Amino acid sequence: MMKKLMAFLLCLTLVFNIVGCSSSDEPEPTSGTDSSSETKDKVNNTTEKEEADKVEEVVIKFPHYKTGNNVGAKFFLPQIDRFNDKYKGQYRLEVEEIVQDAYGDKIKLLYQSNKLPPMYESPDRDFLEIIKDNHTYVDLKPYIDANPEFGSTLIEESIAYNTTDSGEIVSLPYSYVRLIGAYYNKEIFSEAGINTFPQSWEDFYAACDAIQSETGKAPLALMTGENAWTLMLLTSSYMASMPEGKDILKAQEMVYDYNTAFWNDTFTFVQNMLQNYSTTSALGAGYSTAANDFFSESTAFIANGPWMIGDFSNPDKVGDGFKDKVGATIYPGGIGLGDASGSWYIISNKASQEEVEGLIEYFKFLYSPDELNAFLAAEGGFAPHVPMPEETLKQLDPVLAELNVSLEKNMTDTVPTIFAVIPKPVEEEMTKNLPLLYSGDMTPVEFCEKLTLTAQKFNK
Amino acid sequence: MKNYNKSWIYIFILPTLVIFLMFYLIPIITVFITGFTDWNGFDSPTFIGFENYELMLTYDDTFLVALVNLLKWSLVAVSVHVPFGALVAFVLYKKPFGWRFTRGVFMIPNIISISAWAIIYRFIFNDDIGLLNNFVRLIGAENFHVNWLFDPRYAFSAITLTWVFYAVIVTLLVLNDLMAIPKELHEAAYIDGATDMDIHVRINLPLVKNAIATSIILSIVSRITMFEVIYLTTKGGPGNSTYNISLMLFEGIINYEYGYANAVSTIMIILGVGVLVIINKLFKLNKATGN
Repeated sequence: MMKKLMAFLLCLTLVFNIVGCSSSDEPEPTSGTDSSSETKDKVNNTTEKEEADKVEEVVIKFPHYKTGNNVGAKFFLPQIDRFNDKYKGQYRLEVEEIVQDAYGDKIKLLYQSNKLPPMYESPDRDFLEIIKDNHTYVDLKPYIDANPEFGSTLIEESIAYNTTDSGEIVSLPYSYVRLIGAYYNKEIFSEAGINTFPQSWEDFYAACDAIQSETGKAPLALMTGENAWTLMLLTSSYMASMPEGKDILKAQEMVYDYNTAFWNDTFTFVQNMLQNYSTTSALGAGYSTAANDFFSESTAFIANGPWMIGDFSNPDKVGDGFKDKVGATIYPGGIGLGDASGSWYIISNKASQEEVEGLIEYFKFLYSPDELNAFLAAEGGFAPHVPMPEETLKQLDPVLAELNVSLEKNMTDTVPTIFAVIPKPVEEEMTKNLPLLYSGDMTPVEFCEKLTLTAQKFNK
Repeated sequence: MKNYNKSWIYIFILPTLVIFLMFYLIPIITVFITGFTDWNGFDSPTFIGFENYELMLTYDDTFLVALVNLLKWSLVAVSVHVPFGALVAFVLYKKPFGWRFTRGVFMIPNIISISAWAIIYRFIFNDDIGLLNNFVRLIGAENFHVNWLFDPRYAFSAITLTWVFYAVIVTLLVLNDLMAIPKELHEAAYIDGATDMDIHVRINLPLVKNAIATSIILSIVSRITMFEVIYLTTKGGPGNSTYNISLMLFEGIINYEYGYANAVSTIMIILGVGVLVIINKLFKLNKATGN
């Protein structure tokens, strides 16, 4: 009898365990349908309650990819520590480590299971539309309005991008722009008889030919794997050198038809770059391979953002004195890539009011002059409404300073990258077919047809 | 049987039943139903009939390509993977010197995560720093350059090589059945003048038929669900040369087309069940097991 009773109890425990797995101990969520006036009330109440509520430290946990070996971790994690020190006893941010490639999928998964973290970034533009439709965010407008000093740092273009039709602000607008440039090995260029970076595409091709013939090295560090980042940056700048391309990029409208002369020409350029000016390792290469081609001086040029500059003096990645050989520039034709459009941190409507207040403090901290300038000095970019002190400017990394000079002197226009206009499935299809374009098994026309078919498959 | 005992049977079955319902049956039914809907995974699904299936089967050639690739991989599974695993089992059955070590080593790929395995293969097949090409260059072909995973002529074979010779499950299943064969059968055959080959072909092979059939089922179903290795190496490319149905499913998910993805899942389930039925019929498994 005892045995049977024990067996029954075991079964019961198992069933309870299974049922127990689905229970939730999440904090009471903020309502997803808060009206803006309710949010304003909360903002006003914040000041009244501030002192009373400071008894317990509010711990805010969120996943982020700027951890581990990610290039952004070098500044991001110490900054979190500085915030935690400043608000010790009041707020503490805890970052859960996740690799960048898995971040978007993780956020989508958490959203589907109704377990979004208090703060997150949108994986893509479609996701942003979905959360707008379902109002699963905290409107930031009342908080920005309540903190004019913080609000004055934000870039108008970015505020507009993040403002919904009903006037709510869905994600933290940017207060800085980081323009993507390119880096070249001055020594290899010099060996090829080129002493200044080419300013036109004709000169760029001539320089590539000279590098190949004089040094025997491949001119460009390109990649066809992942999202073909370095290749697509170069492609974006090429697109922007044509009026039609500039219009397409600036409009930031998703393209669903690639069967046009312009796109054929663009992918003919891509094929030419891959077949004639890149290394064989570009085929299927991810960013690390392309970067390594540049670091190891196998190639003379790489396109990337200013966040890469720190790696030029990283002894784990480059040889002695490598940084001195690197020059920074914008693209031929005076094109700078990037703008302030885009979403950043979103506060989930699942966050408790205390968490929302803590995150608003974090945003204010991020855009405080000291922090913002430290960030820009470390990773590049400029904040139009927060001038960088002369002292900081003098201490800028020489490569970053050179990039800034190039931007100031030679930049004629800025455009977003190609990723702003190609739907996600097209991006996937593109990288899948780039090896065929490289090998010549697919013509640019066929490539465009393939992209069009993919773009229209899920286009409603 | 007394009713008293029956109630205990039901109580003991209950946890299994609950787990089966929660983790298998309900999800399968949900997948089947939502395959007929337009659903972005977040909002409520809308019924759209067979549109997802129409999109999947008729929009472009991706389904056909995925099906052809599955067929080719299934043929490789049946003609190389399973026979190789069975052959290793027959060799190990003789307990040659170091057989335990060999069996242990043969297990290694199965205890490594598939993702790690995929990354390892990316390096093995890399043109510049890859183990394979460097070995070829070392033995004389100094100018040998093949980008195995990104050359449309070789990518399919390269992906096939990531699994085709790792057949330890087949080996263990067959070896287990081999070891269960009574020694008396072999002794009787020897007395009747049978050679080793006769014993393998006429006694051992028929008696491990079930294990081989099970291996074939497992192997083909693994090809239907094969995802990590492809996604982490070629993503189905170059072009569609290594594309498969699992990638179609993933394509639906990343495009917020969960209805479409679930229609693909339904097809995968049907294919899996189809394989199970066909192999059962071919090997007359039900008869053999006496069920």
